[in-house]
Amino acid sequence: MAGTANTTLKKGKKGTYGLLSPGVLWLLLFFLVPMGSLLKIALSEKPDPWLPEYDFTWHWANFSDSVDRFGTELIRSFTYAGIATILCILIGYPLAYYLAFRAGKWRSILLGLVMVPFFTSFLIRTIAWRTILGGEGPAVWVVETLHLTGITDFLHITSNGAFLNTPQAVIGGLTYNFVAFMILPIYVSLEKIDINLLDAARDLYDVPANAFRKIILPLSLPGVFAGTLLTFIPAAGDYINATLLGNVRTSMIGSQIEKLFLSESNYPAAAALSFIFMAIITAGVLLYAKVLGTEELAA
Amino acid sequence: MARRTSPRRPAAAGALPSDPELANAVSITRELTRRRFLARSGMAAGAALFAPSILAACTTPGSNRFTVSNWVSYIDEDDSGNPEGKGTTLYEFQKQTGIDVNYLTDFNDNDAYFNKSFSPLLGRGKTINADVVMPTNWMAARLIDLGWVEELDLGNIPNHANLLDAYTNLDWDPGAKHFMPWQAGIGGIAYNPELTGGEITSANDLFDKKLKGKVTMLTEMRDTVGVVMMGQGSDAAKADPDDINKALDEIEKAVDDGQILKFTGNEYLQGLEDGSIAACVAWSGDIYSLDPELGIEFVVPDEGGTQWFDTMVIPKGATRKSQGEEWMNFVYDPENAARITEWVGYISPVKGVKEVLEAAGGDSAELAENPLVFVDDETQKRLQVFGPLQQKDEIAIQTRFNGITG
Amino acid sequence: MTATTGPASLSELIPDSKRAPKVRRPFPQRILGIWALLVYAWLFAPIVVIVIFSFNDPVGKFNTSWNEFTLDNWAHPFDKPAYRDALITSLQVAFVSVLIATIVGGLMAFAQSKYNFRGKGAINILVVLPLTTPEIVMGASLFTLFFARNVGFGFTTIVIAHVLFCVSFVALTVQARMRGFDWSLEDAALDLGSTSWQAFTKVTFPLILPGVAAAALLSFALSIDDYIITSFVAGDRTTTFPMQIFNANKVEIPPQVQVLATMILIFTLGLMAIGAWRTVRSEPAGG
Repeated sequence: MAGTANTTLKKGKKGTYGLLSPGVLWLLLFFLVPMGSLLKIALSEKPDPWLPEYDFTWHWANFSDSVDRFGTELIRSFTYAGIATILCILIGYPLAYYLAFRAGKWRSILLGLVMVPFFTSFLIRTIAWRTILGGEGPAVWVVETLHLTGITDFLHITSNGAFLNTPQAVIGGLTYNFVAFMILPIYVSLEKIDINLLDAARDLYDVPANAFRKIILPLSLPGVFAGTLLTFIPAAGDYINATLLGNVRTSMIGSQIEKLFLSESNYPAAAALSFIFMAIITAGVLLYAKVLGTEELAA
Repeated sequence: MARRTSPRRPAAAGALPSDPELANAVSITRELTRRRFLARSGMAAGAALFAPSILAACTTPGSNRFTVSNWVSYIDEDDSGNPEGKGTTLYEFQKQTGIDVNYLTDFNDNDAYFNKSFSPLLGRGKTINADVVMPTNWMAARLIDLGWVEELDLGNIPNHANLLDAYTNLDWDPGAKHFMPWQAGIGGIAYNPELTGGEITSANDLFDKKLKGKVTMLTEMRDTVGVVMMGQGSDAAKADPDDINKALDEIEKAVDDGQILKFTGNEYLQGLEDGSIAACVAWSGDIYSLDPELGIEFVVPDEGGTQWFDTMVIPKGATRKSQGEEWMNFVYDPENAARITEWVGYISPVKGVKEVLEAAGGDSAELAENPLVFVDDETQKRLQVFGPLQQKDEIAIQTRFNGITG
Repeated sequence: MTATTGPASLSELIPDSKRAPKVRRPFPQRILGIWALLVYAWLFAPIVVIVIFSFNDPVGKFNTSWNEFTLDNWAHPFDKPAYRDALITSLQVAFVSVLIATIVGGLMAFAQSKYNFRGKGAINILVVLPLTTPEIVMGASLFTLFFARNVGFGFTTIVIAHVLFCVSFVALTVQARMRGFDWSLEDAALDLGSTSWQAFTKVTFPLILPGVAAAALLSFALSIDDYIITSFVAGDRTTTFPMQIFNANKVEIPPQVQVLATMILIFTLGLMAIGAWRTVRSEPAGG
C-alpha cells in the first residue's frame, strides 16, 4: 500500500511556472507592491497630518514608538487570539473527527452546514450574540434561574453575572467567528487518511485512544497547523468583536491601527505598528512550524 | 482505497477495467465528470446572468449626476424606507428642479471620510465624487481652513436668510459663506432612573461611585470631553488645551478605577435597553429610538451640554456647484426643512420650521413642543459648541483621548 | 511495478497474540455525536435569533430588542433599497471573486503539491504572507496602491482585493488536501493512453474536488462578509452589504437586515438540501 503509492514530487517543467504565474503575479502586484510602499511609509514622517505628503527619512523611531505605546494591546491581542485558537481546536477537532469518520454519506452536507452561519453578516451575528448574552437575554436568565452565578463568576465565564462587555465575551466572539476555519482544514486532512490505515491502526492498538494518538493525530497535524494559521492570525488582527462585545480594557491591536490611520491620520505610525504585528506573527508561525515538525509542512 | 498500478492495457471506450477497484474509480470519475459538467454549465449560466451588470460596474463611470453624500437615515423617507420615494424631500426636489440626484449614504464617519477621500484627493488638488458632503461642524471648520471647500455664491441661495442667527457668525466662517448647517444635536446625558436611583442633573454624577462599571461615554471626543469639562466649570467654547487635559485627567482616572465601562458610538442604546448601562454621555436625537416604557431620560446637564451640527459643504472643484447651491436653497425652505426635521428628529437650523409644524397640527405640532428639537432659550444658554483647536493641539488631544478610550 | 497480491489487511500479518479484540466501543462514538450536536446548536444560536428578529416590529430604529410579532417585514423585504442593492452587489462580487480565486489558487496549489522547482519555498512564503496581514493593513495598503496608480475605485478594485485574500485560503486548503497525493494514479491513466490533460481532469481533479469545493465555499463566505478591506477599496460609488450594515449601524438596524440575512440562509440551506437529496440518492455504497 504505502510502498506502492507514488507520493514523491515530480520535477517541475516549463509548464509548472505557467500554472503558478497567475497566482504569483496577483500576489506580487496586489500584495507585495503595496506592502512595499507601506513599509516605505513606515519609515517616513508625515510633516502635516492633514496632507498626504511623506518624507522618507529612515525614521526607525516609528517602530520603537509603536511598541512603547501599544505593547499592552499587542500582548492582549495575541493572548485573546491564542485562547480562542485553543478553544477552536478543542471544539472543532472532535467535530471534524465526527464528520470525517462517523458521518458517512452525510459528511459533505454536515460540513456545509458548519459554513452556513458564516454566510450571514458578521455584524448581524455579533449583534445577535449581544442579544443572547445581554442583561435581558437567555444566557443570563439561565444562569440566574439556576443560581449558577457564583460558579460562572468563579470560572471567569461571567463577570458579576454579566456575559457581555467582558474579555470572555470577546474571546467567545473570536472563537465563534473563526471556528469554521479550524474545522475545515482539520476535516480535509482527516478525511483523506487512507481507510486501510485506520483499520490497521485499530487492529494494532488495543486501546482506540492509542490508535488515535499514534496514527490519526500525527496525520491530521497538517490540518491542525493550517487551521491554527487560519484562526489565530485573523483573530489577532480582529477588533470588531472587541468593540461590540468588550469594554474599555479589552481593545485589540487592530483598532489601534485603525485609530492611527483614521483618527490621528498618522499613517507612518500605523504602518510601523502593522509591520511589527506581522513580524511577530511570522516569527510565531515559523516557530510553530518547527515545533510541529517541518517534514509535515515542507512542500 | 488501495492504490495499485495496473498493467499496461488500452482502455475500450465506455468499458470498465476488469480490476474491480479501478473499475470503481473509473465509474466514480465518470459520474463526477458528468456532475462537473452540469455544475460548470450552471456556473456559465450564472456568469451570463451576472455578466452585463459586471461589465457595467467594471467600467469606471464618471459621475454624471449631481451627487450628495449624506449620513445614513438623515433625510425623510417614504413608508417603504425609500428616501427618494413619492412625497419625500428628494422626490420633490427632483420634481421641482429637474435635477437628477444621486443620493448616497456613505458619509458615516468624519475621520474615515477625511482620510479616504478629502486628504488624498483634495489634498492633491483632485476632486472627489460628491458635489455636496455633510461633515460635522469641526470637520467643516478644518476643511474650510485647508481651503478645500468652495465658497458659496449666496446669490444662488436666497433662503440663506433663513439660517438661524446662531450660525451666522462663527469664528471659522463668518457669514456662513462656505457651509450651511443641516441638522443640529445635543450631547448630554441619558440615564435609567431605576438603575441610577434618582435624577441625574450634572456631568459629575457620572463619576458617582455607586454607578461604577455602568457608565459609558462617547468615542466622539468633543462631546465626551465637552460635557466633562463643563462639569468642571470650564468653557467648552474656548477649548483651552489646559482645560481639556484637566477633563482628560478625570476621565482617565475614571477608566482606571473601573468607573467607565466602555466608550461607544450609538451602541449605548442597546446597553440602556438591556440594563448594562445606568448612565451615559449620549446624543439627543437617539433617545426616540428607545421604548418609552423603559423610562430612559435625557438631560442637558446643569453645567452645560455640547451642541454640534452637521453641515453641507461643496468640496473644492465640484463640477456641479450651482446644483449644490440649489439643493441647499431647497432644503432651507421652511416647508422642506420641517419635513426633514419631523422625520429625523434633530434640531433644525432653519427659521420658521417650528411654525410650520405647529400649523400642521397633530404629531407635527407635538414635535414642535419637544424641548430637544426646539430648544428653549433657557436650555440654549447651557449649550456650547466645542471650540476650534489648533492642528497640533487637536492631534495631541485626539491621541491622548485614543489612548484613554482603548 | 505490478499489482501485488499481498495480504488483504495488515491483520493477517500480525500474530494472534498481539491482535486486539474487535470490540466496537460505543461510548466514544456517542460522545462524539452529542458533541457534534452541541457544536451545531452553538453555531446556529445567533442564526435562530436573527430569524426570530426578522419577525420583530422594533420600537425604534434598532431591531435589537423584542417588541412584537409582525409579518410586515417579510411582506416588504426589499424596502430600504439601499440594503437590497448592496446585497446584490455583494453577491456579484462574491461570485466573480470566488471563481477567480478558486482557479488561480487551485492552480498554484496543484503546482506546489506536484512539482519540485526553484523558488518553491519562496512561493510558499508568499502565499502565507497575506494571511499574516491584519485586514486593516491590507485595506490601507491596497487603498494606497490604487490611489497612487489612479485606478478608479469600484467593483473591480473590490474584486481584486477579495481575490487577493481568498487566493491564499484556497491555495492552503487545496494544498492540505493534496499533500501525500498518490501520483501513480495519474501515471496509470497515462499508461492507459490518456493525455496529461485528460489524466488531470478525469483522475486527479475529481479526487481533489472536495478540497477545491471546501476552498470555494470558504472563499464565498469570506467575500460576502468582508467589511474592513472592502471599505477601503470600494470608493464612494459602490456599497456592499456589510458596508451598508456597518455604515448604517450607527443610526439604525432595520428589520430588513435580518430578513435579508434569513433569505440568504434559506437559499444556502436550500442548496444544501438539494445536495443532500442527490447524495442520498446516487452515492455508491461506501461513500
